[in-house]
Amino acid sequence: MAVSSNELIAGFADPVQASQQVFRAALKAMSEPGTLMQIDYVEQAPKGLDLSTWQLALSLLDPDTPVWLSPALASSDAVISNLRFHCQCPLVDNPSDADFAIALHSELPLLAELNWGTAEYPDRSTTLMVQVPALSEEAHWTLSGPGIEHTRTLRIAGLSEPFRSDLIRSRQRFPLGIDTFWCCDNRLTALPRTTSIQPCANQQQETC
Amino acid sequence: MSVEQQQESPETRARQHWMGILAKSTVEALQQRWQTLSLEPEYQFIRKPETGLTMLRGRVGGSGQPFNLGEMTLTRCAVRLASGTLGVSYVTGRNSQHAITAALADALLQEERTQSLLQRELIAPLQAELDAERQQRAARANSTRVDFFTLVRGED
Repeated sequence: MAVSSNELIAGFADPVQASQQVFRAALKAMSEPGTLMQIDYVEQAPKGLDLSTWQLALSLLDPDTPVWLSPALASSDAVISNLRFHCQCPLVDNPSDADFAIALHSELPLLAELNWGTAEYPDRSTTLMVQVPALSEEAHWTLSGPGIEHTRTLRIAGLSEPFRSDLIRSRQRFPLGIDTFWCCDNRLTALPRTTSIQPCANQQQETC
Repeated sequence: MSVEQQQESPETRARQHWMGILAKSTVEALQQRWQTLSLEPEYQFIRKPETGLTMLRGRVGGSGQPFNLGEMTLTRCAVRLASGTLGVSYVTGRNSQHAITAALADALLQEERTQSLLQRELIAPLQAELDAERQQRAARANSTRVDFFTLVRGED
């Protein structure tokens, strides 16, 4: 697959500053799980990607990070051309080979298909970036764990029930696990593997 | 996918030719001719000029095992004209203006409206300068040539 030049868009206007600022935001979201961060360092994203997903990709991906894309993204010329041009990251077909997996909320891979790391090197796991229709601090999930003083609430819209229960169950395999970024428009948050998730009592019946 | 596997169309070869000339010319020669043309197209950066290192690889005698010769500085740039044409440049050294001009020239050379003008006023003279310099160097080297005659030493 070659880069098609008519789909290419500009990356960061100031790559050094902006990629560090985005990295700082990603670090804050990961270290204080569930914090909503807003990042505005690009004006547009390739068709199919949200602004925050695109900015994360620009600052985290490089030629040493194999990336897996969910089917709709992998078939989008705009997405793969821009990732190849700006990040030069290798694209892999198998999610377990990837350091980063970028997926739409409607076509999430099974967590079991990703690389969970090994007992010796749990850090070599796949980091999952998911594009979701809405993110908010509504009380839908109660988060607790390292980086959260008491508890924090978070609502991630558009996740299927099996995926949510998989994600909650995946905490049992700690220190192995999948760290996740959740992107919506220009906002992002993160749920690392250390964060335990409790569905709020009054929301348990609702499917969203 | 390696470069050798790609099918080279005549357009690709023509573009490789002018990109090579833009990259190899000196900044002064390029800027001087570019400014006399005073084209000043509208453009936006897809990739601002960025300088880095690239590994030069060679093969002994052109056909031996590849080896790493050393690293050189390289500046690359990509621009998009208002018309949508993308121009790309990879030039030696750290001069970002050189990279911008080469990228703009590459974009304009792909447009039919400006192609013949640029070929005539920019690429042809630059190539002539490069050829002249090359010949001069070859002539200088040639004047110091020594022909060795080996006597048969009779060890057969």
